[in-house]
Amino acid sequence: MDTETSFDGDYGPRRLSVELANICNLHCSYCFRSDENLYTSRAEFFPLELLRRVIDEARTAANVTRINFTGGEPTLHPQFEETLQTISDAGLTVSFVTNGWHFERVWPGLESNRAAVSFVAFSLDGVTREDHDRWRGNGSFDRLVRAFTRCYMSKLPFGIKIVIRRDLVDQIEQIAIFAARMGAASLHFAHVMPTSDAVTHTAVLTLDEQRAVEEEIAILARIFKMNVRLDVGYYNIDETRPPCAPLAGVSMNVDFRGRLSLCCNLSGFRGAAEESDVIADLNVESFASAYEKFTALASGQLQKRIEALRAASSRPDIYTGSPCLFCLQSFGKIPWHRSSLAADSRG
Amino acid sequence: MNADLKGMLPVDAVVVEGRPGLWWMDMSGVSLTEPFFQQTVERAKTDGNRRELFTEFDVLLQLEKQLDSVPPTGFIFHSSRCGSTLVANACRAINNSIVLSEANAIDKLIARFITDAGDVKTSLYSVLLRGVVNALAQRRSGNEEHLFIKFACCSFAQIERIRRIWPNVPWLFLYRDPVETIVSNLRDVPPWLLDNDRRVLASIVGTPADEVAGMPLEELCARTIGSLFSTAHRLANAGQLLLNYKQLSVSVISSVLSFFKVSPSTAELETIERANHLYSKEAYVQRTFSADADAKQKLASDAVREAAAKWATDPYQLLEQKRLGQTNQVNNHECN
Repeated sequence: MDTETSFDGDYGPRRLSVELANICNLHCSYCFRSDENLYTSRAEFFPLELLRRVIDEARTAANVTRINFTGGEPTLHPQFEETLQTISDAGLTVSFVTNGWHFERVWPGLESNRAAVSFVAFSLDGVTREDHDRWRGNGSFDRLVRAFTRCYMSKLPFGIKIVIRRDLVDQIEQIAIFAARMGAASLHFAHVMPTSDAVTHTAVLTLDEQRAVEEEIAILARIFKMNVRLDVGYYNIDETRPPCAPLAGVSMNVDFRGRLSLCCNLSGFRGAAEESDVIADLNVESFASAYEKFTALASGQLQKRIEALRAASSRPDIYTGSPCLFCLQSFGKIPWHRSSLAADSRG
Repeated sequence: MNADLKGMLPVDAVVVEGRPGLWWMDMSGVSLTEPFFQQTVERAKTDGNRRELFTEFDVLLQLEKQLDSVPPTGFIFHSSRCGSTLVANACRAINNSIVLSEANAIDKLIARFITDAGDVKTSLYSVLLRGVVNALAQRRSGNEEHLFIKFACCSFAQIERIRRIWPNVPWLFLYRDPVETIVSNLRDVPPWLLDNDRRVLASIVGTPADEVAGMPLEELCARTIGSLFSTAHRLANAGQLLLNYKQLSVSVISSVLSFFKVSPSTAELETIERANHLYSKEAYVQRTFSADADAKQKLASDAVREAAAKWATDPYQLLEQKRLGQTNQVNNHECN
């Protein structure tokens, strides 16, 4: 996802995440996207005409220079090559996050638009065929390694993204070694987004476990030239600066329906009760107008978090200390969590 | 291969602006003929404007896939000032061999096993160590067949980790009477005894680093070699070779090569014989070697004898018993 903030606080270029598709060809149980959107709803793809208008307006209104395609799985868009071409024609750069399954199929389109494609991020679930394919299906690992090789040989910078489930805690270093061997330019870890009590208990790390992993990642970041870091979501109670690119007003999200929202991590969240992070429907509203609302929402949310941190004890709980969990909570994305808290207090 | 690194070898493990990595130097056309790798590096520096650069360790993981490298033939470990350079020089006399003698990039990385313990899991440094050795052992002429690595004495403390990387590579441990070893080290104090970062020695002798800093050199040296003797006693078995300085002769050294599964030719044996009579550590001045055990014993102060007796003599004697019990080609010889 495109909400990373490095340990040194670089928010990156002003950018727009665009969900090219609601669907995905893989079924990862810890995924935070709505399973209804991914697997049971009708497939919806971001219209090319809307894409052209949005990026044109976003460049003018918000000085956006980079588009990042997400999904669902963006390479499932039937006009994926044309989406790249659209960005290229607009003179912007484009990156995308993919599971790599269809990489061979979309490769010619990447080659045709090579100058505009600045980066590809691949999702990984383990450093062996067995580990990765257990989550992503037989053949997935081999396809991924082939995609890494394609990128490496073509000098197309690529990165690896991996969600730190509990079963991966002991493999952090091996993952870094694997990524470096593959020639990745970056390795970004992320904590699991809690989508249910069950996921929380089986996959999400406790705060102490998270801290231990974060220390290990920080050490690896000093050793490797490859950019090793933890995407935003880690425990961060520094209130002197925004904890992430969306709250810094640098990164915005447009969902597959063409609606501007605060952050790609909140968009279409599995089990969400509310959509108050959705700001405007760009099908009917100009980006300039929507961007004003985005700025107001981002600064309001930032202020809300600062107040929550100040009101908390010297060691706020993880749902306040983690910027992602704070936003998930405050935008009504994890209603089950309030219920389980209530149950705990009753019990 | 990475174009920037063509012709280059990692000559040191360094930290630049807080980032650990490798210092590379263009070693094109430079053969590793000096008794110590660092001497070769110094020679290369004087004979022209050679390119040097820093890289992070990642590059090793890429090079590993690209380089044609010689796998290790044998490892030489030692307790310092005990004839290991003579053995390394004999290995160098074998045609088509690469001898890496106390290469900084190798031994400093091994030291990081200790200094970074607790921060970095050893598996990462094991992978990097294998990568450094691969990079140093690349076939530069195309004909190289054998790779001998002589480690710095302190690296022996990490033998178990080294063996986990190369479990099938034969290794020997060379040692010498502790009094003679301490006298030699005090007469010309080596960098490892003066290292400002005391964590490596502290780990070897099993005391806190600040205690090491206040230790007389006699005691520090005695405790270090005593610890190395104990490690050798604990780990050496029928598959490894224990070798005492007092055994060294041309016939024993050729047996060492057999132990490494190398059969020297007559011409190579003649070269070894010539080298055996020269002072082993001098790169350019060919001073005749003479056995100096008696002289070293006479030079020993009371402090040296006390330190040796307290910290090193018992493990030395245990090691000697183990060596004499070894049934192999070398220790069946009665030498010297």
